[in-house]
Amino acid sequence: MAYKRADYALAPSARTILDRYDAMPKIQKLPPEIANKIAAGEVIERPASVVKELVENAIDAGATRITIDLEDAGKQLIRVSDNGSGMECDDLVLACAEHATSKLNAVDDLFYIDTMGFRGEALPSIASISHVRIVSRTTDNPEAWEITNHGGEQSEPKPASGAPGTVIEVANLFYNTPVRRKFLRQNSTELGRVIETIENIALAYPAIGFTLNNDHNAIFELPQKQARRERIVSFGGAKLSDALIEVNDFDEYASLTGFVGSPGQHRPNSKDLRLFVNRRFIRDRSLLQAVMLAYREFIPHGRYPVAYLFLELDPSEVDVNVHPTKIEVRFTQASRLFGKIKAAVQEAVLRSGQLPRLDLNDRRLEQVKALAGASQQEIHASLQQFRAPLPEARPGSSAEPDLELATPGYDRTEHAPRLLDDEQLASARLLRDKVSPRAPLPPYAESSLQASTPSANLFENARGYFQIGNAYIVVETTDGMVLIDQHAYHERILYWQLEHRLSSQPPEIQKLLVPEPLELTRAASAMLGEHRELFRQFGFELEPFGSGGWACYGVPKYIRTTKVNEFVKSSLDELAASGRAKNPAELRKSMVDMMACKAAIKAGDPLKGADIESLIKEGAKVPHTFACPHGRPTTYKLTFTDIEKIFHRR
Amino acid sequence: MKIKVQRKVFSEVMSIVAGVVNPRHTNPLVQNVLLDASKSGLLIKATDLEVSLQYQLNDASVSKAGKVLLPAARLNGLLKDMSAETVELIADDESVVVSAERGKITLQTADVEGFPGFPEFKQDNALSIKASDFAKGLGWTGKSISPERGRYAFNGVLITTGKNGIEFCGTDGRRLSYMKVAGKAKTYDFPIIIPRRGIELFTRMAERAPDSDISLDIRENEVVARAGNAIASTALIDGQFPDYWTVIPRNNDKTYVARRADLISSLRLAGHVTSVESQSVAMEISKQEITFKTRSPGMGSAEVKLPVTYAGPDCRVGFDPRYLLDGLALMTADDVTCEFKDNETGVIFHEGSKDKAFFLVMPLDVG
Repeated sequence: MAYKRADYALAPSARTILDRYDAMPKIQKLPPEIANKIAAGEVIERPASVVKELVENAIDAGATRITIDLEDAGKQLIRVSDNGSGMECDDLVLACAEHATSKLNAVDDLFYIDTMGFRGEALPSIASISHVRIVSRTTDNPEAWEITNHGGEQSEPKPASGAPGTVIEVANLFYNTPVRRKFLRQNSTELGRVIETIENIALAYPAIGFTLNNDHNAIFELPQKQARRERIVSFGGAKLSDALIEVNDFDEYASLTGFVGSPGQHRPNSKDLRLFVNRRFIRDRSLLQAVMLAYREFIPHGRYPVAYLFLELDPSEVDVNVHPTKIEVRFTQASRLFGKIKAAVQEAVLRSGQLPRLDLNDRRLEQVKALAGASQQEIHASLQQFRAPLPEARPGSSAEPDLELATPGYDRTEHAPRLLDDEQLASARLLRDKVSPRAPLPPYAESSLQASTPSANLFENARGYFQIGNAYIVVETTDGMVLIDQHAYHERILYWQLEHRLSSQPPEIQKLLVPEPLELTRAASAMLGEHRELFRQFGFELEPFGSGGWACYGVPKYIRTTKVNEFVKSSLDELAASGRAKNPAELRKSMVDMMACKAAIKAGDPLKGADIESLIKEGAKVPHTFACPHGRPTTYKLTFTDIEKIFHRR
Repeated sequence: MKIKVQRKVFSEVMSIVAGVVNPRHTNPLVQNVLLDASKSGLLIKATDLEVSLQYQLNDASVSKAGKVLLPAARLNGLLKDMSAETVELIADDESVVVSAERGKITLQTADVEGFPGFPEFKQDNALSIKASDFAKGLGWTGKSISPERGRYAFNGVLITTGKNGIEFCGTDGRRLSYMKVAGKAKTYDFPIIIPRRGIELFTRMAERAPDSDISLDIRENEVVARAGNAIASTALIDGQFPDYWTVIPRNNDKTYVARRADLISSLRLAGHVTSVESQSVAMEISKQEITFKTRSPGMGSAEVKLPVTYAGPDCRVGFDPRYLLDGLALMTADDVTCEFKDNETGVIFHEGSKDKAFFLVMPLDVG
């Protein structure tokens, strides 16, 4: 632990406010023990909060290996051992004093924070609600010192034995705040929180090794000096390794690095969408939204992309002192960051041009099938071979089955067959990780590491094609085959063409012989008045008609639009929905989107050879065709390697 | 049932009747034809529930009356591939044996029960029209109807009857064609909008007997037509047809006359440089000359000149050349008159007398 300079840095806290009201009758100053308990409530909610504070302290102390031991998921004991710089005896004595921190010296420092912890609240808060024991030794000191602090009552330091670094034990958490203790969840949930917490720190510090044990069982062990990509893969799973796209974007304001998933990777929740600012995991709705928007066209509606993004910017540009848990931050130029993230992610995805690939995890599935009638032990034994991604080791998170049939487009299907129940899975995972926490990847995962094929080459690579089921096109290519969803594919092409067309010249408007009255609500009519010019840009000539109504006098020629009413209505709905953000560019986009969808070839339309050829040819002109404007995939690639795997030739 | 029929005549009739059958209809029963043999001969019936056709074959010798249902496409194909002069059909409870010379084919029959009923033709109030006129009117206006399901009434041809004649009108909202033929009829207080399938069926029926008359028994939801031995029916489109007389421009003050063949070739030539982005042909009219201009970004441009008789001010109107070509192809006269006003107003083309027939094309405005 790094508590070398143990100064009291006064922060605008409850304490000064209490001082001010000291003289008033009936209102009494809280004794420090109670104030600390209150502060603890803010910072320490559950074992995971303790782990976070202690691990962050260890990192600030320059540790390269951190071991976390839990008992009873941290309810009984949390022990964090590091090989950091350690504390001298004098520092040790002050470690549990409130607002004692080694990280701030003056008020100015508060606005330039480059360490993880700084508030000086953590240790005293923890000490006030648990039994803390600290053993610490600096490298140049031959012996270690030990103190204990039980609910704020600190012992005198005494010499002890120990390796350089610090070991902090937090036992009987919340022993004197029974209400909070009552609110702790079951062990699996609390353990899940701890794992998540450590994951978020470990992702930001891939060079530091982390070990986590619970009740003497190894949950994971991450080696030191991992590259960031390796670290992500060790959490996100081997499946991710060939689906990660690197993001690199630097300017004088901020640098953005990290990895995002290819469009084929998407999740039912935002758990794999993680943002770090100056190596601190944060939750920021606006920045997450930027990533979501960047993926809007690439993944299906309602799904979440995979992204591990790391922002580095001048500490003075970001205020992390918003909340004690430091999970919420404020930026001086939030909108600039928003734009930067969105553009960088979008560009990286487009540049990669990765066609979604069929996920051939059938081997896993097969093995699971074979286990259908097997005993618990056999299942455990067999599961160890799977070496599944580590995050799935969270026993608490049983929302997603991790053994499932890989289906195109949705690599995690909600309806996937489940052969083991949650409990079996959880225990199997724990056991698996205990036995082989760092097993090498199975060979099939490596073989699927291949260069992606940009869609532009599809036509040149095509050797032959035909339609199946009046809905899909099979294209034989030099390295395998590509399966195309004709509607989604055509929609993407039209989308691009429309965008292109509308920006290159004004649309031709076919005048109508009989104006078509629009059936609109009053609100919609009023809104139309506002946006009439926008519709004109798309080739709709709309004029007031009758009393307060509207009629269409001309329709765009370049696209089939028989359902004018429907189109105008849904456009206006969209306008109303995006009411707060009446961004003309976004609006335009969604209108183009709608037009493309309505005009595209439908599933069920039979196509002749020439039609297919022109479709593929048109597709080659479009910058990317791997997802329709709604984010559904349009194409799937199956290489010969994949086919060989299906037939067990590899 | 036991009958003997002339194969050639039977085959001809079958090919027309089979045209009514929709082989992909969701009700498999109506993929059949009904053969009804009686003293008066053989009555062949088919329907797709929108249109129906009944054909009376008189020169069939019926030795035993009866009704059978046979798959329409199969029977039609069978008769085409036979070479014998006569064929014999003998039915028992489950099958029909079709035999001719060397061949003997047994076809399973379907249960006659459940086969839909057919509308009856009533002569009493029927409207009589020359078959050739009927075919012409439907052919001229049927081209302009909309192939897409948007406004329902645009999917059919409106027939209006009155003392002055029978009027046909078809439009898809972007163009309109009109024709009036001679004939006297009472007026109806509901719109008679004939759908595409009905147009096709009636046209085929009328073309088979161009010199005879067609009688139309018009009811609120269907029209039953009789010509010779055939009775055809179609459901009517239930929709609001636009009051087209009010939208046809009355004061197109500029006129030119051009040779129809020249107009067609000029439009075709200029049309080569149109694209999806730029489908319009601009018609620039100046003294004694029209210039058709097209321009497509990234492709090229065209300029085709055509001498015409015109003395008015310069004017420019854009439109879709395909609409014009469709209309010009249906005309027969050498010269075509074009009436126009400006780039906002529909352009009218006719062969001399606008009262009898014309087509109208709405302009295509660029930006």
